[in-house]
Amino acid sequence: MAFQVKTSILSNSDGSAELIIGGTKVLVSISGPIEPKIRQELPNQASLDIIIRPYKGLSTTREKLLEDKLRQLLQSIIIRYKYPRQLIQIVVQFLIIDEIEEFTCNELNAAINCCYFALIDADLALYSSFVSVVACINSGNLLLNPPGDILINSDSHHVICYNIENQKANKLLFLESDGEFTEETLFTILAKTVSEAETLHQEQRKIIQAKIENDYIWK
Amino acid sequence: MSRNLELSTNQKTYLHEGLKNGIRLSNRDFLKFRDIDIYLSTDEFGYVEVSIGNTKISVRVSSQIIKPYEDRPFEGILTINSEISSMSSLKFDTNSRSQEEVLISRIIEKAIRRSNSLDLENLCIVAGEKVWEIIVDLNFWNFDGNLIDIGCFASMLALSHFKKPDISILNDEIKIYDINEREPVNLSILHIPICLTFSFFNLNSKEMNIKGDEANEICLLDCDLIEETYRDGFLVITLNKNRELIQLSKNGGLPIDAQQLLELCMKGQSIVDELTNLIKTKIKENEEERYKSNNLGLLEATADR
Repeated sequence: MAFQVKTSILSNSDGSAELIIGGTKVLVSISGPIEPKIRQELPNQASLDIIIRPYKGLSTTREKLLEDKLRQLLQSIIIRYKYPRQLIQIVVQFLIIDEIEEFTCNELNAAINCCYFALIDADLALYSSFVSVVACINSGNLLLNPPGDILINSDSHHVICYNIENQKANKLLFLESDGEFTEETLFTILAKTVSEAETLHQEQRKIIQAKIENDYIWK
Repeated sequence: MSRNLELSTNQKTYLHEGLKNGIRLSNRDFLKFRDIDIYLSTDEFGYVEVSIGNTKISVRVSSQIIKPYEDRPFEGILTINSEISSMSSLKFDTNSRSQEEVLISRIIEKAIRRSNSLDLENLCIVAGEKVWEIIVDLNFWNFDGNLIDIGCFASMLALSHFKKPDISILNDEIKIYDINEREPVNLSILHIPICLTFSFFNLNSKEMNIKGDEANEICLLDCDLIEETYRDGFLVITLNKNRELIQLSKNGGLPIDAQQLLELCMKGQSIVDELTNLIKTKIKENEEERYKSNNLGLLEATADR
């Protein structure tokens, strides 16, 4: 599954990225570290403000839930003590999606992967790289990055995010599963998605290398 | 980028001196639009991305069937969501709406919804029971001035691009056809309103402007962020191709001559024609591209005469 990424596209944000993955298109902008409001301020670390905007209509509890999940993940990946009493504001705008409203996995996956590029673009300190994969079990078969119509008929679907150290998937950072599955299936899924995550990370590296070469083009 | 854009006096003087000599910082003519860059989706209907300078916006139009308002049983509903997130600029707060944001959405709403540019009666399915609701979502990506003009332009482009699924009614039962099953239908757009924002700069003192014989205020079309920060007042004129004046909005600021108002309307007309034609040609190009890529020619039953 290929990433199509554009970075630094918004002039008013510190970091921004647009990602197309499968049938999902998402735009992330990051402003930070900036001055927080008093109620957001934390004495010894940066606070995160995550805003998710749906592809149509106004944001609902569905988006709030996604915000919480994304915060959970990003809190553990950004080195927050480097920016005490500051705010990092992340706005995720979905543009095109490929799943019905009852599902969130393709969107969550795209948001996580797009946040990675936006965070790099915003030059924020991270503990490690991270990459996320969607897998679904369709009558016993494992399928990676399923499009929306396959997702509807699947038995279970999982969003899996690994952190990457020394180009190897190291720890499981985030796991979001829905549907009917056994412990054994889950472990097989985890075992099988590791290699996928590592290949995706190689792609991330290529994209970032190209981006940095382009950023320092005057050299 | 900070929350409040504060610019120095030097910068202001620089801008004013330039304007005095007839030069804008962007080296554009005073009444010239920036180039408009348009992307129309070929996979779905009603998704457009428009950028002008560094101002970027995407608009999505969607539809659903709902019950109409009780006092208007024959009319469909058009909703325009133009909430500006802090993605576009930190001066727009996502949780509270600023005055500027309210003004932008009111003016866009007045231009499109209250000018009756969309035929709402055409959206009625069963009177008093079921009508189409057309929802326009504006997403402002980046703010570099002139959100009103570009918001209105992109909304009209998206509405022209949008097609709603075909339906049939049989004994109170409504069947909605998939867009691959039956060719979806265009919305009936009665006219295309185009907003033009003129910004005024007073290069003399305030007293000179009110009492002096000659008013030397300068008028710019399509201001960017810096020009918009320093302007002394602005006027929004909404016109359409049929030479109808839809909206005139001038909320305080610098007083201007009535004569100038007429002049601006006359001058704006050619720009309106240009922008309307741009919408029409882009939609036509998009349809031709879709016709080719989907091989719709194979479905034609009529002989090519």
